[in-house]
Amino acid sequence: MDKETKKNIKSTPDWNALYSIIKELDYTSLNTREIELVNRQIEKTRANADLKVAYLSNHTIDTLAPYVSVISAMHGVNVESYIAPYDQYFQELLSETSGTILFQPDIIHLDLSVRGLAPLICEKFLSLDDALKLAEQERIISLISQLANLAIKQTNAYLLVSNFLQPAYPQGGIADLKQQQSETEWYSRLNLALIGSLRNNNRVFLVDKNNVLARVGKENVTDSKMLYLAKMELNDVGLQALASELNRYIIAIAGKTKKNLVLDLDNTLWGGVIGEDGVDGIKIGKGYPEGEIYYALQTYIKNLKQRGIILTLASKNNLEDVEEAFEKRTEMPLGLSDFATKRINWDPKHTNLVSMAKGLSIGIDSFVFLDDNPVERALVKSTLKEVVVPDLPKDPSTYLNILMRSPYFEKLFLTEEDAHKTEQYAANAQREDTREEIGDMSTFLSSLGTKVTIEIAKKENIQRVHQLFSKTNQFNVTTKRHGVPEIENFIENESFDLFSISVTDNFGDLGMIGVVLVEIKDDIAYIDSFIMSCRAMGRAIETVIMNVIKEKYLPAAYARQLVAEYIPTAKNVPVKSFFDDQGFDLVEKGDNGRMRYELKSKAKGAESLECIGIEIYVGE
Amino acid sequence: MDGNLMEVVSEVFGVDEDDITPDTSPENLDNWDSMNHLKLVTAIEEEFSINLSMDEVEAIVDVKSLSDIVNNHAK
Repeated sequence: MDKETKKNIKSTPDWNALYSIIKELDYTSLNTREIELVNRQIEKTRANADLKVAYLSNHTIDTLAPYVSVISAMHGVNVESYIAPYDQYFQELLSETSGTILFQPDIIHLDLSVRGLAPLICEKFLSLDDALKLAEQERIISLISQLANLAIKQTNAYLLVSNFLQPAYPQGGIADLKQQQSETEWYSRLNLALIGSLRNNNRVFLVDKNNVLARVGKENVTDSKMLYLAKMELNDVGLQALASELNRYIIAIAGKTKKNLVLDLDNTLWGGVIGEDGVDGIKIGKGYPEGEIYYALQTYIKNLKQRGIILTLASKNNLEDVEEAFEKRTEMPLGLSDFATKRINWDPKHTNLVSMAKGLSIGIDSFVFLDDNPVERALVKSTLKEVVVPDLPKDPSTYLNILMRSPYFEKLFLTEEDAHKTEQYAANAQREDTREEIGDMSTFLSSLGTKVTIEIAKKENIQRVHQLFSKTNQFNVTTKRHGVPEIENFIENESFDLFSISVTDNFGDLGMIGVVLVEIKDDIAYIDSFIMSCRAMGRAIETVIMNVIKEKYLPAAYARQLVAEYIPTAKNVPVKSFFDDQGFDLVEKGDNGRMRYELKSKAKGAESLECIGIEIYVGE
Repeated sequence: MDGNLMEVVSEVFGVDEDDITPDTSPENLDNWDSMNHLKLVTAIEEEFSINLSMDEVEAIVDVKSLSDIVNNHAK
């Protein structure tokens, strides 16, 4: 970091100014002091933290927090931290008045080391009898389970549990693997058992520290001097690696996951330029070095699609050439149908990106733009500041690693929906075309053959429901970002009704596209959240849902009222007049554009509104 | 005294270079706690590309002793 940058960082007046500088930095090149400098400025300029993270450990991990805060800040998440006193993890979770509990964390990171939990294992593994080795293992697993349960009970936080670092060298040397109970096996089994015991809790996530530290090399992550001086088990290399992994969870929890990967073609998805080298001349496929590079890259990108990232194309080319390439070069892992939409033309790419965002109805701030051409990247960067534009070096064999290291595609869960996301968005684009052909709106809607299913959300839907709460920006009347713990409560607690809405039509299965949360207090049914994925917008589906809500909560013979609120954000303009349109009465205009609505039984507006050609199923 | 060293000390403890003297020590600088002491060691090692021994780390009791130790490595 040069002097100028340091000076600029120190003089930033607020978080936004700071973010705009540090988002351009590469955190792997920052030294300890620079991390400190940025961290200090984050704390100084903080108005509101996006997330509060508490760190619990039995070794000295204080310096992990600045790394996490700085890396997350570079990705646009403001993280405030609390470091629990050394080795106090149990008391911190148990006591109602501990620092951790009072801090009200959104995330608790629990990182324990075998050195602290079971010194015998670290010191004299070779002389321990097998029964004792197993007993120690069971003791650790049951301790972690106990701690996880405590954290769940005592807080509303997500719990991130580090697994255990298998030592770089086993005490038995290479002969360890021939032992009946080898040390290697002991650690593997311990970590395996942890996966099993934590998998089914939706608020507890395992962090594969053992793998994360292996990425940078186990010999490189410890500084013996610091270990003996201060019980610091990880040096800065190790802390940075662990922090960047925690950042992946933080991005997913903060809802900063990107939705759309926009790809260039020539020299990005294949080697060469199709206009010059011809369809047969471009490099892609197995068997020769340059082809292998792009084969591996396309394979990884296809897996991103499986993870629910929408793929799109933005390439300056002739459309016929591109279609021919995908058709003839069958060795390509990606096919044209893998892309939800494409802009193959000679318009500036930023113009294409904007029109793409409109066509897909997703925000441009959920785009990642991958292009080998530095000029194109610079242009997109300067015109569309919200788009993430990874810098690509000259060597294309590095692209894959850059994508793998990016935390922007992380989700806490993968759902059934994810694997079909591109198809769903592609079907949407098709529906748009049909709409243009038919012209008349009601004829168009009838032609879709829409079937809407509304039912009470079940436990097994939590992951998708959580996705909708955390990621929907446009059709979201209150934008309350309820987390998994709250959602669990809505399902169990009788004063809440949480509805899930799924849609299918002639073009395909849209999956679960909406949630509605109603809180019932005496005679009032309060619409806490009314959320619909953007791919279901513009089809009168919201009216169908509202009709069901009206029927359920405003039966003709009973005096009750529905209360609703619109809380404006930068993104939810599309639902600004939603409650007006649905016949609600505006009763109060609050600060910052908040609006409060009511609808009473037997009121004129409580009647069902007309919806054309939509079949409806109301489940239990 | 070496300018770089003063910069490191000032950045680690978050205080002005002007406020640092050879006598600055954990006794008279609040920010010089045990955790920042470790950060100081790491930062010094990074800045001068040296490795301090445990003895040396424990011998750092003020800015003067730190400077002596770093200068010793430079020889």
